[in-house]
Formats: sequence, C-alpha cells, structure tokens
Amino acid sequence: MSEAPAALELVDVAAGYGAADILASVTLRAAAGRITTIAGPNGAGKSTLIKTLAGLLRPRRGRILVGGRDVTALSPAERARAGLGYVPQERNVFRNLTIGENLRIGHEFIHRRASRREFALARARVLDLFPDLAPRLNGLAGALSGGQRQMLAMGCALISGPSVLLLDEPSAGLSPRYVATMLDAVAQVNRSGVSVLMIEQNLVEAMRVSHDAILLVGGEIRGRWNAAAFLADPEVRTLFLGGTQRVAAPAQPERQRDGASAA
Amino acid sequence: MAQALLNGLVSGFLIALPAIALSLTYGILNFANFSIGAMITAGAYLAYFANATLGAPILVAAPLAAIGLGLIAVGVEHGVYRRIRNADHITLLVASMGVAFVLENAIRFAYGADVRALDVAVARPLAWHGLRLNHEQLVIALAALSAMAIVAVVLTRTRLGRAMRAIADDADLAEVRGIARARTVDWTWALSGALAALAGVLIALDGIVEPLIGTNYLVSVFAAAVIGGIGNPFGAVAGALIIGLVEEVSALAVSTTYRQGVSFIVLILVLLLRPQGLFGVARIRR
Repeated sequence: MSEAPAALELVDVAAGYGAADILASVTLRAAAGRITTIAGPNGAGKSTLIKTLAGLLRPRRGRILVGGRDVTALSPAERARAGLGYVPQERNVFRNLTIGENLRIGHEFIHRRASRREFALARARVLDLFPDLAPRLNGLAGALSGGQRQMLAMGCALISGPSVLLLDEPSAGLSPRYVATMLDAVAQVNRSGVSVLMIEQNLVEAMRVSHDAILLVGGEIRGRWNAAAFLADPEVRTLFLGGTQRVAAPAQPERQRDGASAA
Repeated sequence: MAQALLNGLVSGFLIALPAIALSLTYGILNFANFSIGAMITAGAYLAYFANATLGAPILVAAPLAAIGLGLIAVGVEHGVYRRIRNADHITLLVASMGVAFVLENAIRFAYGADVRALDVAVARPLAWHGLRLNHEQLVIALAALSAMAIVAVVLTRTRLGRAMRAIADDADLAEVRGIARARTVDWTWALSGALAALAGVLIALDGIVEPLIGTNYLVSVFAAAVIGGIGNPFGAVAGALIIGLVEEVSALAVSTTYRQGVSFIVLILVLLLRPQGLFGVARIRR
C-alpha cells in the first residue's frame, strides 16, 4: 500500500461486543505525517475500530502498532503515554470540571514531570489554535456550546503533543461554520507534524483536508484511495451518494451529512 | 435552642466525614458503600487498640487508626470490589454489606460486645454566655473541619484530586487522558478509610466504643450524602450539617430515640421534592 512509514498500523484485527465480531479482519496503515480518513456507512464498524485503536475495546485477534511499536497489550492510559491522542465523538470533555482543569488533565498525566513552564507553553499553543477557549478557562466545560466543546476536546488531546491523533467524527453535530473551522484546525495540527486518523461522515469537507481515504464496509476494508480520487470513485458514489451524479457539496452541510449517512 | 443548634453543628461536622467518604467512593465506583458504618466502628476499635491496649496517646492512636483503616479499605478493594468491578451496582452494594458483616464480626471476635472507652482525660466543658461546649465537641469540630479542609485541597488543588474528579465525571475519558484508574481508586479507598476512621475516633471520644457505634450512624450518613446530591463531596458536607441540625433540634420536641427516624423523614422529603439532592444540579450529565 503506502510507501511512507506507518504512524499507525493494524494487522488482522478482529473486535466486537458480546458474541459477534464487528470488525472481521482489519489490516490497515495510516501513513506518518498524513491525514487518513476512514469512511463507511452507518454500522460499518468505524466507531468500534477507533475504540479498539484507543484501547477502550480489546481486540479478539491481531496487533496494533503505533510508530512501529506494538501497543496491543497496553491500556488506554499507556497508549496515551505512548503518543496516541484520542478525541471521542461524544462525552469528550470532563463536563463538571473547568476548561482550565480539562486542559491541565490532558497534559499532567502524560508528562508527569513537566514543569509549570512546559505546561504553560503547551497550553499557549492550544489556545493559539483555539482562541475561543482562552477567555473561558475558569468556566465549566459542560457549559460550552457543541463547537467549543469539540475544540476543547481536541485541545485536550493535543496539549500533550501526541504523535498520532485519532478523531471520531470531529465535525459531528457542529454548525456549518464550525465544520470548516474544525477541519482547518485538523489540517493545521497535521502540518505541525502530527499524523491524523479520523472517522468522518462529512466526506466532502473531510476530503478537502485529507490525504488518504479508506473505505470500511461491514467490518472489512474495501479499499484505499488518494483523497482527491475518493469521491469520484463509482463504488464510493454508489455507497454514499445513492448512485447519482451529484458530487459537489450541496449548499447545506447538514443535508449533505444526511446524504452521507444513508447507505 | 441555641444550645441545640450548637450541638447540631458539631454533630453535622461529625457526620460530614463519613458522608464525604461515601460520596467519594460513590462518585468514582458508582455504588453506595454500605460498609461505611462498619468502617467507622473499625476505626474506633483500631484507635482503641492503639490507645487502650498498646497505651499510645490518642493523638498518636487516631492517625494510626486512620492509616490502618485506609490500608484495610485498599485491601478490601483488591480482595473484593476489584474482582466484581464489572458487575452491576446492586452486586457491589450487596458485596459491601458482606464486608460490613465481616468487619463487625471480626471486631466482636476480637473484643466481644462489651462497652469500652478510650483512655483520655476528662475535661470541664467550656461555657460561654450560657452555652456549653464539651471539650470533646471542640475537638470534634476542629478535627472534622481540618479534615474537610484537607479533602477540599486534595480534590481541587492536587493531581490526585483532579484524577478522582475526572474518573467520577467520565471513567473512560479519564483513562484515555492517561489517568491510571486502578491507582486512583486505591487512593480514593485510602482516603475514604481514613475519613471513616477519624469519624470513629471522634464518636468514641464523645462516648463509648462498642460494635455498633458506626452502624448507628449509617442512616444519618446516607441521608447526608443523598441530600447533598450523592457523589458530590461538597454537597455531602452541607447535607451533613442539615442532618446534624435537624436531629438535634428535633430532640427538643421528640425523644432522641427517634433521631434516626427524623433523618429518614428529611431524606424522604428531599427525595420527593428534589430527587437529585439539594446540590445535585451542579453535576452536568448531558
């Protein structure tokens, strides 16, 4: 597949809840320094995949490697310390803690010996990226709007300086204005050297910033594309756009999201 | 009346310690630790052992009891609760009842059911404008306030406290952020055990040591924690003060035999009118 070294690699991973496997046998590589988007219809196993990567779900089989290091046996906390940042789709901030405390928690358990100055610098970098958060540090995270909450969640994952960032639908539930802002922030984070693997339903916006696209259907990888070619592929169009000729973004991102989720 | 209010305040401080302990473990482990009464008793007996049996002064015996019960609580976590962590909270609640039976009967086995007393000097009560404050009450108030201040600092100003609050808020996310859950849970039990032990020592100071002294406080402690919005340690302090005051003031009208009944009535009223507890709104659950 890709010639670049893998930031994240799954080898023959099977995972699921209860008796059934949701992921049958997934093997994929996310290239270092790039943004890889995983697309797939509802129920394809995207969330199961990202939870397995973060360590919240133990795979039944297979191996997971971060930067070549086998992390399969590590807990979520150990994976975070190994450089894996994760932003869940929902419940992604500590709602009853302040924004400042959320950011601090994002840093202090990964860099346990960091000085105040190192934390201050890391926080300044995050607040540069998301200036909306700066005046609200003493407010409760649960009081933030959806878009601001998503920014805080991403800031908390970034503040520790991860080498790989996992994003579970960073634009889900956001107003159109925030969708572009959010994905631009993802691109900016990536330019600073962080490899990104994300799940996204908002495919048109996602492909604007992505380098690679991977299609997941029914718990199996169906293929891998260059982001530019992804939406033009007939199979992808049949799956997401109902086989119509419509490829350009509709005027309303909300509508387009609905279209993307209809398998 | 003023005397009843003063007594109620002191009694509230006393109830606050185990109520905080109950709230801390509830917030992080999501089950009501029914053994909190037996833990209070165990704390009193550990202090009795160090003080009356070994002859240590009470100022040494009390911290020893706190450390000892903290260690026992961590031991129980490893031996019992951790093994059934994924069971539902009713299973955990029943397990904690079992722990209560074991603790209480271990105490009976070692010391029998006799009524005992700590080896402390008796001092004259302080009098001020017709109000009487026992020496023991003063010690209870000062010790409980110091313990509450320490808990508040730990919760809001330290890394451990942030880890505890983060896990109480969202355990999965806490792990994703690098927080070692098992170790934080251990510290929570240690803190909870130390608070229960301190309460046991203070109750024993004010009265006697016998195998049911903690269990007698069980209803008051649960009422305080629930009124405060269970899982919220700061609310538990407010709930404890309310329960302490109501119990003492009601003693002016009805016999003290009904003290626990009064706690129950307050608890039921609060649950009917505000099921989330008086201070339950502060927790955001969406």
